[in-house]
Amino acid sequence: MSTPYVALLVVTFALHALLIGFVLAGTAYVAIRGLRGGDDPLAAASRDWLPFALGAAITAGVAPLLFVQVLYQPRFYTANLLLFVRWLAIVPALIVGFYALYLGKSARAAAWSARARAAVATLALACFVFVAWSWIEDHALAMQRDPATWAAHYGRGALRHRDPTIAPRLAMWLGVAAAVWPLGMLYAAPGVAPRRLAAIALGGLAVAALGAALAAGATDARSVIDVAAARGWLYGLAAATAALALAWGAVALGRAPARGAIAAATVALALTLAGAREAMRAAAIDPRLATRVEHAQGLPLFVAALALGGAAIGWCLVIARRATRG
Amino acid sequence: MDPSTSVPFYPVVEFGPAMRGLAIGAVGIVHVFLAQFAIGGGMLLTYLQWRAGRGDDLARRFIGSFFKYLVLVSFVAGALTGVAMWLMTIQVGPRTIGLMVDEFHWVWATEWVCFFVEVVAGYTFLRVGDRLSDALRLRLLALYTGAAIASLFWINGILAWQLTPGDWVRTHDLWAGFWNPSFWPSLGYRLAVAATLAALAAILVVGTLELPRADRHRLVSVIARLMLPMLAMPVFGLWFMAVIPDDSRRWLTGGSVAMSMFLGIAAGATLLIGAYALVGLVWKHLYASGATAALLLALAFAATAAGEFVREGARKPYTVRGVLYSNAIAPDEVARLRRVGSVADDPYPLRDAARYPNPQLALGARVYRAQCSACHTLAGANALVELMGGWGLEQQRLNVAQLQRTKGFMPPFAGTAAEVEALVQLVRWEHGDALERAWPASDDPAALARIQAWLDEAGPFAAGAVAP
Repeated sequence: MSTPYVALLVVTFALHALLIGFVLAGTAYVAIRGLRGGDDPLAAASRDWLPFALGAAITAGVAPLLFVQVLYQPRFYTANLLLFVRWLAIVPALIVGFYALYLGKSARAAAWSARARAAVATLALACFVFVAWSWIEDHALAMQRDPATWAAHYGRGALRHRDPTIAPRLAMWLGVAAAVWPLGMLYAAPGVAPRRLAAIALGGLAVAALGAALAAGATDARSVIDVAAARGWLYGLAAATAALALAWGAVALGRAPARGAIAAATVALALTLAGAREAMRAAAIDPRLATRVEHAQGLPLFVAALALGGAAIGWCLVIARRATRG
Repeated sequence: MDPSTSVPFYPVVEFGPAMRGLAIGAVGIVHVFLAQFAIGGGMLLTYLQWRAGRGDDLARRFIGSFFKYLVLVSFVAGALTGVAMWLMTIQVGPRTIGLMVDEFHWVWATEWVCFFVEVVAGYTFLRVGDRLSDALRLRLLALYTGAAIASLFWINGILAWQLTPGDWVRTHDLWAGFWNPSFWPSLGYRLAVAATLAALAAILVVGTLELPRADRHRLVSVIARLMLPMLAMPVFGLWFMAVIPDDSRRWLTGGSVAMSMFLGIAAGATLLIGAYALVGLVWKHLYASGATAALLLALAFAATAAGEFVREGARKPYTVRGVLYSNAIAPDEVARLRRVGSVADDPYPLRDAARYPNPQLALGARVYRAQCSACHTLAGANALVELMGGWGLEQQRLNVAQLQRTKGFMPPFAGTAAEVEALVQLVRWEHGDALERAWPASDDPAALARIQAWLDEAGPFAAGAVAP
């Protein structure tokens, strides 16, 4: 019975996507502002929160990494192994990017020129885009329907997998990142440049839609859309996208941001996108659980830990909020 | 190919002259060192905050200085080497990590929750700690430490299970595997190590502070108290030695020179640190400079590295005791592979097939890749050419066919007589300066018959294992 695992994969991946989207777009904003020779409160607030957001994103990313191994173990492992050092390079890239974020936030860097700080942010951005590209490449390689392509890949000793969907899918995720980051800014820098945030969010949604369309055009999208489960998620995704576009559209026209509505639509966007992704994967390759997994024990332990951990995290957020307000 | 009886094949990666064990060892040792530092760091900060709440202002000021380093080292490098561990384990032993995930994923997911709490509590303290009351700061640090210890608690059960799976082998009950014989001694030892590492790192930080010497001396004395759990390390160490399998204990206590030597390094380095810390710092209240602390930390790293080598080595010839051999072949698959061949179903071609002058050598290369490359290279670290090259031809055939008798910590050869011969011919070809010469395939039926007899005589089981 794969349902609980798929559900957990969807929810935890959505959480990861929200956090990593904030990191990607926030780093890009800081880099672009710096390259233009300036700084602003949005860039400052981003710099301040980026290290924490990346830490949380990586931590959140461990859960989908676990559940994908439960559901698609042979495929995931095979793709990892085929890409080998090219794949392992994501770890040093993340370490460099992580320290670059801390450096960018440090008092020492504050005394540097805008260009120097932009270079640090650009380095971090390059690292994160490389990691995002690598994940998409790994995913595409794992999804190969004919295992003979893996043997051929191995025989060539190739460390790259070329697939026409990789670039548009990267564009889609970068667009999603740009649509997610403004929500974080509504909380991290309340009242600052809402129309600019709206423009970035709407631009992100447009890029994401274009990327998704190009990726669909480069693949056998029709067969996926014909799968009822995937269709449901795609309808939901379209609705969430429309809701988010409307919410930000109102801000672009001069209304005050409705933070609750924007937050709900953004979370819905991440959840439906993660759900559609998993439905498409399940339609292409059946997530058949190993016998061992079907008899695995320990679910009550996890549920109890989740409840206690959630309460502990909630308590941390409460005291952080009180301290910030006080 | 019947999926119910076939061995899952993954593409095999090689790290040049370094064997795969070195690659995972390098990442693992760094991660263990950093992760244990993070746990001990929480213990130290909680203790210092408790003192700060009772008026120790020096302790309060030190918390902020130390926490910065804890965040930069442990939250970044520690967390990411944890991810690296996972990815590297997939590269080195996909079947082993797959089995662990299949069996323990809910425990792992629980550990993830604990880690998430640890990260959130840590960042909350970092961001707003200086605006909180002493009582709240103490609770927050206690939460951070509790979550970090809980994280170790859960992962320790999985790691200890690999060496001493206990009744799990018979019942396949999760809790029988988790509460395995080496769980408590491993946990106790790791917690003592964690406290020690954090104390040494903190003394190193003390050396960097602009404080009067008397204040620094007092801080060192306070911090050194965190090394008191080192007193319990011999107990946990002896307990661990008492519960591990007999053959593992024999390797560590003289049966394998390399493992005994690493055990000696781990014990010796720990003893030196303990003597200095407990006698010099705790009892005599001596001062330790940053340089001394750095030296002790280097010793602690050596002890960690040697200890992890011992822990990994003690499992041989298994990665999961009684369940998977080091080369990711299960004991109950060996008999079948001896009939059908270990690489007959392997879909992955050789990348350098053109290099081999005859099909037998190419077969030998595939056999080497499937059965040997987890722990050996051909001509680099732990090289087959160096280990076997000096043996005579019949000696090579016999020793490979009866691998578990040649060395007790090797798994049984899991292939046909023709595969033994192919591997032997490959090693002979690689050993000589014959790479440029034609190399005729050996096709002596009498030799194959002798090899088959040797295989049959040794049986398809590990040394000391009881036939099912």
